Amino acid sequence: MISKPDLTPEFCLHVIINATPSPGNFQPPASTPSGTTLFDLGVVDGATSAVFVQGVKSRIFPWHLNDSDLASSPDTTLQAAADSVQANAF
Amino acid sequence: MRSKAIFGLLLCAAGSLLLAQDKFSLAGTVLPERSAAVLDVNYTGPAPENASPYLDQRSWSVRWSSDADGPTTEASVDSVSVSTATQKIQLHLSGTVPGADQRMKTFWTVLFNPPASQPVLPQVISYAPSSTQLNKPKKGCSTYFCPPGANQPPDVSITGSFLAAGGTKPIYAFSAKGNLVSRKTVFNFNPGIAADIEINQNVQPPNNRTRFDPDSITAGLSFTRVVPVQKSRLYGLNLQLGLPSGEFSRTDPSGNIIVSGMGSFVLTPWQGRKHRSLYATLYPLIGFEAGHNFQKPSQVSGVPVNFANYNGILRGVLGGDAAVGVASADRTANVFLISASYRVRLPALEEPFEKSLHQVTAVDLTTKARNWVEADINYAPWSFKYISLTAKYQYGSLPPMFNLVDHKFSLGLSLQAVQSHKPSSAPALK
Repeated sequence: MISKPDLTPEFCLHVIINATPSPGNFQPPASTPSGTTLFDLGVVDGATSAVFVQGVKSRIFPWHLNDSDLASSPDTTLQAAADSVQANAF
Repeated sequence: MRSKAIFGLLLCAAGSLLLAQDKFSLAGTVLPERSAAVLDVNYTGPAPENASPYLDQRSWSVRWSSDADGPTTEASVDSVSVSTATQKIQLHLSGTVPGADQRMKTFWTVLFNPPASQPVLPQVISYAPSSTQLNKPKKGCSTYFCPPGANQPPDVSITGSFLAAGGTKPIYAFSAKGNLVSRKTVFNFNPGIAADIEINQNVQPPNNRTRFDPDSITAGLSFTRVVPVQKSRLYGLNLQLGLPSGEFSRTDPSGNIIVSGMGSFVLTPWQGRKHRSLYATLYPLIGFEAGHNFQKPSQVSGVPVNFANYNGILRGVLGGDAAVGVASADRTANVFLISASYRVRLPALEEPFEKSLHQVTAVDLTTKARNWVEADINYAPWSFKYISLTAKYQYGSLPPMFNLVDHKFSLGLSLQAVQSHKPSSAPALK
């Protein structure tokens, strides 16, 4: 049986960044979760947004997440996307 | 002299704005953690300094309740820490707090109330559980169809254009496309219905009567699945099965029943290093279409034909979708976007193919490749996002009869919408 990972803020942010097409574009300390959007990490349109959502869901398994509960539009900040995972996973 | 003073004022205002964006401030959101009695308060800008009132637990008080209007219970704030990686101030609680399985379903209210000697204002931040956590219907766009958001392709669109010229009756051309997907899954695929109707796409002046004849209709049951990959430049796969779908033509009555499978490779988008708003996408596609013709026309575009040997259908499909765009500074929309798609169908069995040369139309049964090119520009500057301006270029031929659309330019309006609460899926493949 797969154990559920602890949905800490750090874990949720890590999942969000690594599910994007270009996680290397996030370079702290110049890059911050509140100042960086999913667009900056390569989520630019509907196709990449759809893959991003499935990538996040596969990384938090066995937690579940409704597609519409994950903030995944290109203008979403990393902080908001990570919060949507932390708030809505079940 | 006056212009210099005004310029100086504007420069100071811009500088103040820049400084404000680099200053610490609470973001106005708070989230509980599941495994620990901790509340995470978001902030923007740099982390607060050690002597800041934001790091003094005496500045914070927390109350919670099990429902929105119920009595509240106070929790003690034992200590305050900062996570610079996630930009959160963490309030460590003790006393009477909800259990781990209830914290996300609890209503929290946090009051930041620093001593009067501190030059910062008090602030109230609250958390309300989501509809998912409370197992209730989601709020937001309550109708079945909603306006498409930024960079969001529509699930339903109807595009119309109108051509008026001397010596011809008006020509109306329409294109209606739909892709509705169910939230339920079947073997990890989302079932749905996909439809594409092209009307009068190849009618040219002079036209002696106004009419609406559907040229190409495809509709069918589809199963879609998006697979994340993230290996090298391949970001993901968009898979779509059409089980089954129909291809129809009304002008020269014909019909095919088709089973299809398409796979689109979602490559990592390119983004400009210096100009981060500039981006480009490329999604190659490969697939197949197989089926049977069940209705043969006796003539095509007025040319008598004999399609007695036209029965089985087997085609390979290759192509790709590409786009180049410039996103707005806030990333909510595209300032400029050109998108293009190319499809080539490679029949293994002979199918009708229409050629027009010097106003003479010939129809053969051949295995020649059938190309289709389409380029679009969409622009919706107003707030009512259901309607957008559309410029389109089309060339090539579509099943079932592969009637030629010969270098067609059109300007018109698109009526478009997205399906609300739709499971995440990439744009439909066709």
